[in-house]
Amino acid sequence: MIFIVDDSPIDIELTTIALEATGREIVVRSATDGKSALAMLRNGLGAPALILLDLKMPGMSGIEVLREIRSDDRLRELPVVVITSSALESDRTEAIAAGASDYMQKPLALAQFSNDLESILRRWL
Amino acid sequence: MKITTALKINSLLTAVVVIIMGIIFTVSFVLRQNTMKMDAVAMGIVTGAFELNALNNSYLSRPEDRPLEQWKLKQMELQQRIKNSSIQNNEQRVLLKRIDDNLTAMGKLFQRIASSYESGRTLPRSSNENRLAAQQLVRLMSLYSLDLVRDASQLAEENHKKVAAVDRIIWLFIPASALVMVGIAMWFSAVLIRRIGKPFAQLSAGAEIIGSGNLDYRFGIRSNDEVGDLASAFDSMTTRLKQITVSRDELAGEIEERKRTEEALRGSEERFRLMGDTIPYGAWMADGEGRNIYISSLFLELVGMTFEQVKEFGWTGKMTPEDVEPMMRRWMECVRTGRDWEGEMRFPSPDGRWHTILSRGKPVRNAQGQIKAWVGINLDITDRKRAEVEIRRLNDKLIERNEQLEFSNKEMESFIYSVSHDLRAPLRHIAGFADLLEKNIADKLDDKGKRYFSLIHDGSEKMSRLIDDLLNLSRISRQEIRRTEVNMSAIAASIIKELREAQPNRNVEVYIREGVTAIADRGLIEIALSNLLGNAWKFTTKTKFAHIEFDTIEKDGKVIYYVRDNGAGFDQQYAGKMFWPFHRLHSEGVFEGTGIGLAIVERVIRGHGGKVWAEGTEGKGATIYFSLA
Repeated sequence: MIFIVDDSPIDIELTTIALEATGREIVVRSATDGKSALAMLRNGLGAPALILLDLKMPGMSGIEVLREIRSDDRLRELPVVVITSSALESDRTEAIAAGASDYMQKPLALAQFSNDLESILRRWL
Repeated sequence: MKITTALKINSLLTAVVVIIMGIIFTVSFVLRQNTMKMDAVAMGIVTGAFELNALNNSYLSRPEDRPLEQWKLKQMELQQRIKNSSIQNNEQRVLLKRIDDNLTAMGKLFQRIASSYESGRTLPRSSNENRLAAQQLVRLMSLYSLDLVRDASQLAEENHKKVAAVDRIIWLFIPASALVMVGIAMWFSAVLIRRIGKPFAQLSAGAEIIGSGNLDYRFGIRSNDEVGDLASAFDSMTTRLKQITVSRDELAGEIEERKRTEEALRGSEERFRLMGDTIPYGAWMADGEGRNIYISSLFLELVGMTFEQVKEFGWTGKMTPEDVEPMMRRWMECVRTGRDWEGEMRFPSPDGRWHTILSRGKPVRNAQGQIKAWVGINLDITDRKRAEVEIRRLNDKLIERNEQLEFSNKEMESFIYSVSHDLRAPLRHIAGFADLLEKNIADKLDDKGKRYFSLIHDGSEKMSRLIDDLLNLSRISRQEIRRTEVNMSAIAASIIKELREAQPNRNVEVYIREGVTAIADRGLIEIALSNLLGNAWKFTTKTKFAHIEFDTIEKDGKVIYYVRDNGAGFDQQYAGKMFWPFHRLHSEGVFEGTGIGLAIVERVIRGHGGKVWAEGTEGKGATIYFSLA
């Protein structure tokens, strides 16, 4: 199960399509804000094989969610890959510093996106 | 030996000699006197003897009492004289003793004679015994008388001999003493001549020399006497005279100098007054105690006062009371210490406004460095002050504006950033679903439809690039510059290498000057050079023999870097606009690009405090120059 945390449902949909385009059998669960994401993770979701976390979210930001995850004994070990449309180097460093397992910038083209996700999956699944 | 000592000795000797002579004379005189006395005694005895004899005979012929008495008297007289006479020597004593004894014997004899006559009076004269006895007695008496005379004569002779001897001594002594006296006198003169006369001649000769003006002459007489003392006294006097003369000369010189200075000062005072009334400042003069003694009419008109009111310390008259005290204090402090004076004062003018006057003054010193006067100017700086206030106000406004601008700049950058960022997501959606849609209806699509989707795709890509560029631009503007020494040549070389690798088919001649360095932010410079060289590469695509240069020139001591190409160039009249974001000087079809490259270059260069400008000719090429602060 791959857990996607992103404030835009459209982005979640696109990401799901891109994941499916890799050819793997995957189950996707999602949350559209940090708070509910954490709630789900802590209660009843089950341990995801991978978390794909967006940075820019209203309310609790991706970084904050990441910190929460990393400070929570039960969730600490989970692989969290930050995927964001941001091209800023500083965002990458901040994410890594906050404990992201990996960082990926969302490309424009869907095909490219799928390829990039493939590498991530190969790495972290 | 001192002269006085010598003369004293001289006088002493003279006195001694005189005293000796006196003594000798006195002694001889006394001797002579005594001798004469003795002589008289002797002669008296001789005559006395004769008288006695006569008396004797007289008695014998007529033995009466009278001749007896007279004989006794005479004998007594003689013996008395002998007794009274002062005996001078033994011979005299002996003789006088003999005479005295003789007289005594004669007396006794005469007594016998007298008694025999007495007793014989009654005797006849005829007794032969008596006559013989009487004759014997008489003969004895005559013998005694003869002895007496003989002794007396001897005595007299002895005396005469003595007197003669004394006389001889005296008559010897006189010339001798005379000679001694002459000798002493001569010595006296010699002393006077030698010890006094000659040195005095020397002294008077020397005095003449000194008197004629030679104050360096010294006697140098070292004799240990009064002359020596006088000479050294003279020398000290001459030395002192010289000192006095020198200081008198100096004093005269000083007085001259002072007169000249004062004249010069008066002269310059006059000139100052003249100048003061001519120049359009308020000129003033004060004396050494800070009292105003002149002020130009310009100032007087300005403050609407007369010189009478202003002079001394009256110039503070129209100032506000609170300002006067500190001003005066400062002025008097300057007067006291001699420091240059500067002060601002406010005066009400007859025109109703308050004027600010800047007063400046300097002390005037004489040759000894004492302050004799003060000169200065009063400037009306009212306008200047107003201008200053205005400038300050404008400056504050400018700062405020700047701050506002900076703030809005920052805001804009943030805005651009977040917008660009937010634009991404929807764009992805468009692109993503367009792709999906294309796949979805792929079998229904004809060529036109396929072309439309291609265009949608291109549009999204273009927009993505624009967004990226905007983000880049805003990022660069916000970025802090960290300067190190960067090797521009090396950076340019690596950029060219990448360009060649991306398009290996292109044949471009590139010249990069070696060893060009700068103190700049490495990352930003890489971006700037990448853009510039990338542009040059792009715009020479259509050029047959493409040539790109990266070089430097020097202008006004500063290094100007440039990238030159011989590509498409541009119309110079649009050279200003080309650095604006998204502004393109070539249409999209000819050269691709978003028009952000040069804007980025401009931001980078501006961030370094430098300038960038371009020169180009359409169809010939372009050169982009830039400098770094």
